[in-house]
Amino acid sequence: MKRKVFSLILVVIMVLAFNSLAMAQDDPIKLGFFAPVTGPAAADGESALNSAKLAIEVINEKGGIDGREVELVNYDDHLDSKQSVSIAQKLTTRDNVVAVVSGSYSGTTRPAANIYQNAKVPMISAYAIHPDIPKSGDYIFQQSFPGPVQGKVGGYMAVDNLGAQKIAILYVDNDFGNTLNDNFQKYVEDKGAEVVYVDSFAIGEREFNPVLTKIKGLNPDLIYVVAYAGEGAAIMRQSVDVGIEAQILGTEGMDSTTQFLQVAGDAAEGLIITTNLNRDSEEEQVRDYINRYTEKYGFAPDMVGASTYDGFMLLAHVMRQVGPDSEAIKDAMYEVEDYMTNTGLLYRYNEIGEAVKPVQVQIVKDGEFHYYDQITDMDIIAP
Amino acid sequence: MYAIVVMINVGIFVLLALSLNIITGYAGQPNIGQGAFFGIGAYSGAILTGKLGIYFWLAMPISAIITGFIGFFLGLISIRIKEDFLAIVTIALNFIVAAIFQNVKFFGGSMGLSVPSPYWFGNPLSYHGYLILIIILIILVIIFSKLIEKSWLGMALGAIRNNERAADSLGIDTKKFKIMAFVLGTSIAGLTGAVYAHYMTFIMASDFGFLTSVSILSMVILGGNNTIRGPIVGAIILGLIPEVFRFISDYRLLVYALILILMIRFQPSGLLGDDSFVWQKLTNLRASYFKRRGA
Repeated sequence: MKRKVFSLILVVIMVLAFNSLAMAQDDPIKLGFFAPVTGPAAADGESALNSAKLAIEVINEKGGIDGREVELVNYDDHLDSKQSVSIAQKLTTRDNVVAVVSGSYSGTTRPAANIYQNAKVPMISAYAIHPDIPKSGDYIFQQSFPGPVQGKVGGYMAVDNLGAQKIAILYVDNDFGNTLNDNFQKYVEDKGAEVVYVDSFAIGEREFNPVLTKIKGLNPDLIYVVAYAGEGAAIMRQSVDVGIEAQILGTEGMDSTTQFLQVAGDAAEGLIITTNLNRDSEEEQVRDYINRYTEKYGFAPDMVGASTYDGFMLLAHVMRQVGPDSEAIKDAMYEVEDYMTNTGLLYRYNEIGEAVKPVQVQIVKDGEFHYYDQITDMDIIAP
Repeated sequence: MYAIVVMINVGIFVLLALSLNIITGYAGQPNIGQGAFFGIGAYSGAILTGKLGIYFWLAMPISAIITGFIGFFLGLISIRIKEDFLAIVTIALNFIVAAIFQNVKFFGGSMGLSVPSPYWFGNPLSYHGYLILIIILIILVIIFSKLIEKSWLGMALGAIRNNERAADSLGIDTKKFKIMAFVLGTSIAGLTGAVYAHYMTFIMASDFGFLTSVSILSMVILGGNNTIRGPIVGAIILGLIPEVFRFISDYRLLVYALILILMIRFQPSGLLGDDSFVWQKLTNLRASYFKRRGA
C-alpha cells in the first residue's frame, strides 16, 4: 500500500515536472511597449498602441517565433518622463521582456533609453527623433530616419524638386521642429534660395491668421511647415482663408488621416509632405498592413502606427534568426540589411543605431495621401 | 529595481509636498507655482554639473540657494499682492519659467538638457544610492519642519496664517517672516529639483509645468495642509496612484480626479488634517489607550 502511494506521488511529481518543462518552452516571448495613450499626445499614443496590437496578432498568426507565441506587455506613460522611467524599470526587471518598442515622444523616450541600455535590453524608438536617443548606447535604435535627414530632404524637395527661391518657414517649437528647421534652412541657403520669413509656434496653437497674412505679403514660392496634425490642419485651413497660393511643404508630423486629413478637408489638397509611409506602395506587406488596420480600427493608419508596427516586425524578423535573446537581438540588429518595412526599404542601421532608409514624399489628392516621390540619394539620406 | 524607482518617484513628491507645506501650510500663502521652483532647481543643477563641471554634491546646495534667491522675489511680491491675486501670480510663474527654459538656447531650449551621472566614491550613483539620498533628505526636511513649528518663525507664521493684520498690529514683522517662508519652501524644492535632474539624466521644460504644480498642491491638500504627516501621506497616495492603477489604464485619471473631489467635498482639512475624521479617530484611540494605561 505504502509503495503504491509512493509510486503514485512519484508519477504525479513527474507529470508536474514534465508539465512545467513543457510550459517553460511554450512560455510566450514578451515584448515591451510604452506609448502616451492618455494625456496631451493621446491621439498618437492610441495610433501606436493599435499598431502594436496588430503587429503582435500578425506575428502570432504566422506561427510566432519558432512556434512560441509573442506577448505584448504595454503601458501608458501619459507623456510623463517620470512614468516612462518607472515603466522602463518595470519592463526590464518585473516583466523581463526581451526587447522594447517605444511608441512615445522624445521627452519620455530619452530618459527611459538609459535604463534599457543599462539593463541591456534592446529598445527601438518607433518615431521619436531626438538625436540623443540612439546615442544613449548600443542597445538603442531609432526606427524612423533621424530629424536632420528629414530636414535635408525637405530642403532638397523645396529647392531641387519644386524649384522654390523664396521660402517662408513655420515650425513647431520642440525638438522635432527645431531639428528639421535647422537642417532645412541650412540646405536651402547653401543652395542659394532665400528664406524670407521664419517663425515658430507652440504645440496647441490654433490661430495662424496674423502670421499667414504676413507671409502672404512677402509672396514666397513655398512655405515649409513643420507641424503636428492639429496645428497643421489649422495652418492649411487658414492659409486658404487668407488666400495663400504658394506651395506648402509639410513633414511627417502632418501624416495622420483622422487628425489631419479629416480636419483640414479640401484645404489640404496639393500639400506635399516628407514622411516614411508610402500609401501607394506596391509591396504586399504594406497593402496588407493598411488593409488590416483599416478593417480592424475603421480608419486608415498613419506614420506613427506604421513605424510602431515596423519596430515589432523588425524584432520578430531578427528573433527568427537568432532567437529571443536580448544580447543576440542587439547584435543582429546591426547586421540587418535591405529589410523591407512598411516605411520603406531599411538599408541598415549605422554604428550608433540610426536607421538608413529612403524618405517618402507624398501628396494630398482627393483627400488622401498618394505617392509623389521617393528620395534614395545616399548623399541626402545618410545620417 | 522597479520598486526602488517607484519609491524614488514618490520620495521626490514627498520632498516637494513638504517644501510646499512651509508656504501654503505654515505661512498660509497660496502657491500654485511650486513646480516652477522644482524646475529652476533642476535646471540649475543640470547646468552646474553638465555645463560648468561642478560636483553634484556641491551643485545640490547651490541649486537650492539659486532657487531660494528666486523664491525671495516671489516673497517680495507676496507682500504687495495677496490671496487670490497671489495665487494667480504663482500660476503665471509656471508659464514664465517654462517658456524661458523652452526658448533660451542656454537652457537647451526645446531639445532639453542631458545631465551627467553623479559619482559616489568613484562609482556612478546607483538607484539605491538615490533612494538613500532622498530618504536622508526627507528625514532632514521633516526635522527642519518640526524645528520651524516650534520656533518663533513657526509661531509668527501661524499668526500670519490666522490673521495677517492682527499679527501686524501685534508687532510681528509679517513681511520678514513671509519672505522667509517663501525662501525656505522654494529652496527645498530647488534642492529636490537638482536631485531629480540627475536621477532622470534628461530634463525638458515640459516636465515642470503647471500640472506639476497642481499635483504638488493636490498632495498637500489631500493629505492635510499645515501638518507634516499630511503632505507625506498625500504624496505617497497620489504618487502611487499612476503605478497602482496602471491595470485600469484609461480610467486612471478618472480615479485620480474622483479621489480629489471626494476628499475636498467630505474632508476639506485633508485625510490627516487636524479636523479630519481619520485623525480624530486616531487621536481618540491614542487618548483612550493612554487613559487605560494610566488607570
